[in-house]
Amino acid sequence: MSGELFEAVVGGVLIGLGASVLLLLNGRVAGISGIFFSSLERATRDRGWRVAFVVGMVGTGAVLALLRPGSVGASPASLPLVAISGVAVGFGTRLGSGCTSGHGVCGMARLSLRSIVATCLFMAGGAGALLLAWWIAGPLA
Amino acid sequence: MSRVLAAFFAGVLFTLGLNLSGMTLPDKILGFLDFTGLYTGAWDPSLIVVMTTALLVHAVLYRLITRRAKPVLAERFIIPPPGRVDAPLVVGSLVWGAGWGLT
Repeated sequence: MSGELFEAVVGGVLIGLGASVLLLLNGRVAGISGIFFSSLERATRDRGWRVAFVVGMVGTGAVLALLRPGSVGASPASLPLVAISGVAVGFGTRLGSGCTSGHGVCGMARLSLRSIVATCLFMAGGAGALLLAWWIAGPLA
Repeated sequence: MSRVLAAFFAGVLFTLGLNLSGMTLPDKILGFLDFTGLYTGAWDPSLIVVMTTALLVHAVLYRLITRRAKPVLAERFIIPPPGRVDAPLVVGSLVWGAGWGLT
């Protein structure tokens, strides 16, 4: 267990560093849902860095999935559920202006009330949905 | 270094952190979101450890970095101004959180 916690801390440091590097060099907040969606829109001004960020993420993810096969997992949920959840995540993150990195890391680092509230709410949403799903369908194995 | 390259590097760092911390494993996320685990002893605090660590690191560096007049490669910092806690924030967060927990 201590090995896992050590990895969690090291990983957290790297995440914090990644966000800080983007801020120091580019002056931007690492709100990944925003960066991702904007990178897809041709009309986005200053699109290049966003695309590069996404490529950096996806490319690194792909390489790590190959180098560390046990480190990346697929959702245990069915495809229709994943599709519905994808819509919820896409819609909700745009409506709420951000996700775990933008609000959870960057926003809370600035002591933004909006981000603290948002983070508590999306965790509550996650926990609540899980409990509801289990109550309806029975526990996932 | 160009801003594009810098952003790429930031994305690499970020994803390394996600991967090393186990945040790319749905089981670890579900292990955290399932708060009944607090009773059964099966609760996985990893996500909150990761987020808190990242948060603390970034909080310290954020203060230091924003003392600068400008970022290294850009003309100004573009940081969202403080805002109100409004309905879109609340609804949006709950909705995506629900989707997140379901899968």
